[in-house]
Amino acid sequence: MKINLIYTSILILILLPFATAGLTDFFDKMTGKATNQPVNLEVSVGGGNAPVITLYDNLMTDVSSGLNEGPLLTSVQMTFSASDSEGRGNINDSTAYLKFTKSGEATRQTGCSLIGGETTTNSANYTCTVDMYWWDAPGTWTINASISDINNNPSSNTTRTFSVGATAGFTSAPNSLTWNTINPGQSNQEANEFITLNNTGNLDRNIQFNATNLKGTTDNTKALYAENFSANTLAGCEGTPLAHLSFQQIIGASLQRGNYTLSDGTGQENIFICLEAANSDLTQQTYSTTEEGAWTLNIAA
Amino acid sequence: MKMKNIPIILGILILTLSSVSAFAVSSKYWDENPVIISPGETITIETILQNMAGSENIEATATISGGSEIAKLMEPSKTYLINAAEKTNVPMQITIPKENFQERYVVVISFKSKTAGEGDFSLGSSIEREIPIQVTQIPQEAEQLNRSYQIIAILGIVIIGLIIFLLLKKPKNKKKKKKIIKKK
Repeated sequence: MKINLIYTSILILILLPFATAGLTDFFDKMTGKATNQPVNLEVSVGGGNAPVITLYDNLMTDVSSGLNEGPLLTSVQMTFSASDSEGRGNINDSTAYLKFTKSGEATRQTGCSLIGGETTTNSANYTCTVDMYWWDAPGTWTINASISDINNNPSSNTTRTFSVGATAGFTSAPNSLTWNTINPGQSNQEANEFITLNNTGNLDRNIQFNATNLKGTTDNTKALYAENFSANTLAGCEGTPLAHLSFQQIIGASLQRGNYTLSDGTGQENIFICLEAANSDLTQQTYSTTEEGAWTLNIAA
Repeated sequence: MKMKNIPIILGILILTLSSVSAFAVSSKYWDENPVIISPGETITIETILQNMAGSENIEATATISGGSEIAKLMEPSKTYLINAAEKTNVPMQITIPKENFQERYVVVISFKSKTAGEGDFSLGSSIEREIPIQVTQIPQEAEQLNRSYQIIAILGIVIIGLIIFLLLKKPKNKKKKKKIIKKK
C-alpha cells in the first residue's frame, strides 16, 4: 500500500508541471480584499461600433524587388474590407483611406474607392492605389488602412507591413563636352560643360570614373592620356586624378537619393572634367577613345 | 627650346558623350536585407535590370566583380536586352561550401551598358550592386534542439509508462500473495 502511495506521488509530481495552474494559486487569491481584474464592457449605443478593417495585403502590388526608376512612379494597389455590426449602411465610404509609412520617410497616402458589387449586409470592399516615388527608402513600410462610420467612429488597421526593394540607377547629361583651343604642353584646361548626374533609384551612391587614353586617329603614338584628366565636384581643376583602365572614386562626389526633378541639387551631382596637362608632343589630329574603348561612369556603394 | 602653340583638332576639342544610358538595377537584397543561406546550400537569386523610364532599348552585360568564389551568373556571356519601359531578370546562383565558409560575403555584380561608340569620345555607364550574403547555421542548430526535445519527451513517456505499468502490476502480486496465505 505504501509503495502504491509513493508511485502515485511520483506520478503526480511528474504530471503537475503540465497543468496550467498551480495548486497554490487558489490560496494566493484569498486575500480578503475585493477582487481586482480588468473587465471588458461593451456599451452599445445605436450605430456606435466602429467598423472592423481586414487588409488583403497578399493581393497588393509586389515592390519587394524595387520601385520603378525615376522619374516613373510606382502605383501600389491594395484592397481592404470594412465590416460593421450595425450594417453596411453604417460605414462612411468617403472616409476610406490608405497610408504607407516609414520612419524618416514622407508618408504616401490616398483615398480609396468602394468596389461596386462586392458589398454584403455588413461589409464593403475598397480599392486604393498609392503612388510611391523612386527615392522612397528600401525597407519595411507599415500599411495603415482607415475608415469611419457615419457617427464618426474611426477605425484603423496597422497590423501589416510590406517590403520595398533597393534600386540603383542614374541618368547623366549633357551628351557632349567641348574644350577651347588646346595647345601642346598646356595645363588646367577645363571642359566648357559639366556632367550632371541624376539619381533615379533609392540608394545613395558614390561616383567613379574608369578612363582610357584618347589616342590620335592618324598617329596613335600620340595621346591625351587618361592620367592627364581629373574630375571634380566643383568648377576648377585639381580634382580627383583619373587613372588608366581603373575605377577612381571621385572625392566628394555623392549621388544622394531624392527628387532630382526639382533641379535644385536634390538627388543630383555635378562632375567637372579637366585636362590637367596636354603632352608637349601632341600633333594636330583627332584624338579618340575608339582604340582603347569608352570611358565608364559608374555608381557604386 | 621655345614651345610652339599648335592647336589640335582644329583648335577645339569636342568630346562627344555617346549613349550615356539610363538604366537601373533593382534587388530584394541590400545592406539591411541580406540573403540568408546555410552552409552547403545552393540558391538562385535575381537582380532586375530596368529601363522603365527610357525611350530606347538598352543592351547591357553583367559580371561578378566580387564574391565570385560563391556566386556565378546563370548566363555569364549573355548580353541582356532591356526594351524601353520593360524589366529583365538576371539570375545568379549562390553556393556556400559545407566547410571552411565565412559568416558573411558580399557579392558584387556589375552591369555595363553597351555604348553606341559614336563620336570621338565615348562615355559608357555602369552600375555596381552589392548583394550581402549572411551564412547562418540556425536551421542545423534548430534541428539539434528539436532532437534534444524529442529525446527528453521519449524518456518522459517511457518513465511514465514504466510507473503506470508497475502500479497496475503490484496489486495483482499482492492478491496472489493473499490467496496463498488463505490457502495455508
